[in-house]
Amino acid sequence: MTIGAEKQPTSDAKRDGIIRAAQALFLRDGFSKAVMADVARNADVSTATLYKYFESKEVLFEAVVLHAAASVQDDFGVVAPGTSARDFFMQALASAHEVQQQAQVTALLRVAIAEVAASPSLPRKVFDTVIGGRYARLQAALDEMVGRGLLKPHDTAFGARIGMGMIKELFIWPALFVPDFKLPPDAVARADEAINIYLAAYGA
Amino acid sequence: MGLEDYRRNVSEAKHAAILKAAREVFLRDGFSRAAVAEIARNADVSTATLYKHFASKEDLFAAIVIDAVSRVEDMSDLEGSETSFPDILMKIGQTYLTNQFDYRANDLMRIVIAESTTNPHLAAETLRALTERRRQRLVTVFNRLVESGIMKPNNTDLSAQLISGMIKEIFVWPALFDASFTLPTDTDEKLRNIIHIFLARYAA
Repeated sequence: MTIGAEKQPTSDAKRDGIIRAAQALFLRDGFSKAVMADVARNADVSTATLYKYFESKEVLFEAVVLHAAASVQDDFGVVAPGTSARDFFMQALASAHEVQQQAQVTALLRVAIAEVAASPSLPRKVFDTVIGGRYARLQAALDEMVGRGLLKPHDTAFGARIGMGMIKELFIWPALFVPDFKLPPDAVARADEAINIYLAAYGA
Repeated sequence: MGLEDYRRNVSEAKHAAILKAAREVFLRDGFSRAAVAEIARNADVSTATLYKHFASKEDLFAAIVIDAVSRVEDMSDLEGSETSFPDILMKIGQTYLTNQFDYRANDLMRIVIAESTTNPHLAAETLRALTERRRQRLVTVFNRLVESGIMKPNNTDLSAQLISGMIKEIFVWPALFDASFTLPTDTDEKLRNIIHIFLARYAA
């Protein structure tokens, strides 16, 4: 084992601690008002260590959003062997529902949107990396299903976006405006209709 | 012209001047930082007069949102039965986008989302004005289309949400993260794609 690999666990624990502390502060104070020194103090590391992990507050914020999104949807966009298009979409739906239930992702997106006037590069980057990343994963899954003959060939980049749009309308949009928004109990059942629309257009 | 008419005209002119001034100040400063005194000054009325027209800053903001989205949302001209289903959907999509971009509903939305944790009442009211009123109108149009046999019988409340979600994802969602985002040159083609997908499920 190399020295580097040996050090890894402590480093990751530090990184996790920083991300946890940063998430709490960003959610409480927003982006502009959150102070890096407070993040370091709450994570029990020096500011120098903090900046070794994250060179700027922007980079830290992005990492926090990616971490929150990844913690609930690691399998998002994975097309299991032998699956049907409908099964895949139902699984993707369940994953989107989980993100909604977790609420932190939506809250962090809200923090990013609040910065559009003050620091426009932050929300733009969040959009490109976090949201763009999810589009890319869904698009890759759609391509995979087209390749397996489960879906008709179609513009999968566009398809990924409108597919997410339908789900976002039901799960995410109201929560952006109403922080304690509770999804109605039939939300997932209603979202099935989004799958019906997609399959009516592109089902093989 | 009687004295009553005169008073009413003056009052209406003041109301309009307040809305116009408030719109400018809110779009520039956001909600929290906007000063009611400045709005009154710019509208050339006293703060007392302003509060006679609008009981609170929240009410004033909600009035601006309603004003912005009601300018071009009249869908009564869609009732003509000679229009085809895709044409009707195209008109609805274009009308919606005009509101969002030309009357700056995107910017108002962003302001409200930024405020939603500190001012939940404002956000909930705006959500109602921005989405629920519009959805009701769309549902009315869809119900009429179902009655006239152009659209398959369906849960129109749900289908109205889903088509809104598709349009929002392509055009509005990026604008929430980037104030300089403008409608793409192929907007109509993208709308046509969305309509094509929607019709696969709902065209009778």
